Amino acid sequence: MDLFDNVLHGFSVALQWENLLWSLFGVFMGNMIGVLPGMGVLAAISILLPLTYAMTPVAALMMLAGIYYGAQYGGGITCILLNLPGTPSHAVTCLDGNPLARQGKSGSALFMLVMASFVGASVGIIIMILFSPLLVEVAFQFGPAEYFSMMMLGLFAGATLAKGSAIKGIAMVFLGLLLGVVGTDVNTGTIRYGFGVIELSDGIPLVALAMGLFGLADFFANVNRIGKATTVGAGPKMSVRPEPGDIRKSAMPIARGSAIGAVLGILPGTGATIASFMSYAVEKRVSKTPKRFGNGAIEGVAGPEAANNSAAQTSFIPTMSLGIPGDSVMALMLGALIIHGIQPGPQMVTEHADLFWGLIASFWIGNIMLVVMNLPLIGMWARLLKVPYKYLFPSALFFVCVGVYSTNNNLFDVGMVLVLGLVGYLFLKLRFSPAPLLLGFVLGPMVEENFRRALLLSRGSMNVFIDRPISAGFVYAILALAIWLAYSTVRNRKRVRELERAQAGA
Amino acid sequence: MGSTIFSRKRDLWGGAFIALCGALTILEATSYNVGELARMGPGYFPLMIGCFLVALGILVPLSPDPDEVQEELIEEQLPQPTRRERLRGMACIAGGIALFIILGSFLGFLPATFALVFVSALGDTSNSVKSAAILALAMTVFGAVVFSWALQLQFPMLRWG
Repeated sequence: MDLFDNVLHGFSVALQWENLLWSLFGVFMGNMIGVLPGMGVLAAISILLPLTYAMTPVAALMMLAGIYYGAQYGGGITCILLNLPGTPSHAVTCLDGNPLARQGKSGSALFMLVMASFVGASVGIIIMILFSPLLVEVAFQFGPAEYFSMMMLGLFAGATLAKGSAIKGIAMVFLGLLLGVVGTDVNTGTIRYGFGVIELSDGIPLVALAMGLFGLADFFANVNRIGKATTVGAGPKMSVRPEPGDIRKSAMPIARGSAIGAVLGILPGTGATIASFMSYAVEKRVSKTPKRFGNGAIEGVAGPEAANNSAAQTSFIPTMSLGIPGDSVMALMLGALIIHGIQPGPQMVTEHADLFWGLIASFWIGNIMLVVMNLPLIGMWARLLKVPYKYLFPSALFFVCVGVYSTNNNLFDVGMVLVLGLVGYLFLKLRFSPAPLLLGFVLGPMVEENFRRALLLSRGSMNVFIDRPISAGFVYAILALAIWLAYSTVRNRKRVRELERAQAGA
Repeated sequence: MGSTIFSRKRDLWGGAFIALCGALTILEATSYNVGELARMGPGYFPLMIGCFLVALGILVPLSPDPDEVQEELIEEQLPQPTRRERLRGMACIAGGIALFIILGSFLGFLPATFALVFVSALGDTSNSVKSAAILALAMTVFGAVVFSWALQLQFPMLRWG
């Protein structure tokens, strides 16, 4: 069987020594970063991205992907032990994970966390193996019009469905598209928005943008704040052992969570965070004893953890087979591929088969490593939680500066990080989420290119986007989103007015 | 207290910022060749983005988000750094990076690293001069071994002018 051969080939690539070691390094770093408070996955990937320049693309991607799904494991641990979500997709795990730990059942909760994560990820990987080749076949029928409409749908969905105000999200997408324009126009050679600065003629480096917005801006916001808000007391007893009956109780939530995660991971704009929240809501609804939720229901840990790990894996499907990232982490992955000279998309799956299938195989190996690693290392992770922020951020800052410098070996880029970090801090203060901006930035050049090409082919007729059926589907989906957005804006205005009235009355 | 009114004001600033970005984008885009739909010049796409940004900037203050307002109410309860502490943190981090650039171009990698870590660590009020210096020294040694020696970073360890 063809598929089976491909998977086998993938394993032979993933099991090469160099790839195996980098994959292990990636999942280890990811797991650690997920545990460390105040360190995000995005910051971690952008800090470690320059390290991959000397590697083969296969090893580089395996490592970066390892950081991503490794952090999914680590983030849950802090939720259970300290009621601190390491990453946003774990916020929901705190609800029941921490009460369990306070009842002295942290061992059981941690065990279910690792098990659910592994099962969820495995389901995601299987879906990826089965689904990607199908998607690739569809993608070969795509022309510039389809690509443009699909990317716009991805951008709109990413902006509106993510946390926070949808209008602000869309504004950030457009700012991202704008930043993507900076540099030399490929069609005419005109330098746009360079303002006479030679260094800008190559565009804004992805690494500088990501580190500024997600690394530096966070340091600005968290300095003198973390450490004040969280005083880490003596940790509860750490062991990993299931309580009798917990596995039986968790089986169905894990199955449902994996399915929810797999679907939401593939859809543009929805990712691990939404998947985990949705899974929690579903478990609460189907439960015979919904009152237990929030007071230490093991189902409330198992379901969401399966969901966010499953989504973390399937979100690679559109990124790899279509070249369209669904969220900002995937946008960074896409950027990493492009830095390594590989254009993601349907061609990649056939032309770089060893990369594609090798990466899938490495996901599985990486997840097994995570299970093996987490069982004995829980105690060590818990101690790591006590590394104070006052030592953490200056050290991380050093990695930011060196990492950005090494990208082009110039200090101008370091200055750019400083400026972008200040801008990112301004966004945080004004409550604009920087994630859609990164998505827009990475997709920007492709959006423009396909837009121009589609209209060149249609001789300037905008109808091309609705005459072709696949493209029309995407356009209608965008319209549906826009209508929903208008409706929710009206509703939100009403709710805000009520809040204001309640406050005035109080 | 007064969270919603505050967030209204902030959205006004946010919207104005976006609209201003849009206006400047349009201004700059018209200095390039715009072209027509069938044959777009380098200015066409940014011109479109600029128009969207202006429109979105106007919409931002008109569409408040109740979750954001509620989030703020919760955050007000959490301990926050004083204005002084926050400014000190930001100034030290920004200053550390600026020093990294200046010292890096004139004196080399080692002094730049030391200055970066030392100055930024002082931004945290719980660090003493001594603890910041120890951390900076440790990172400098680490940087020298890992980046200069092991990874062969193209950045002279020490140089003059």
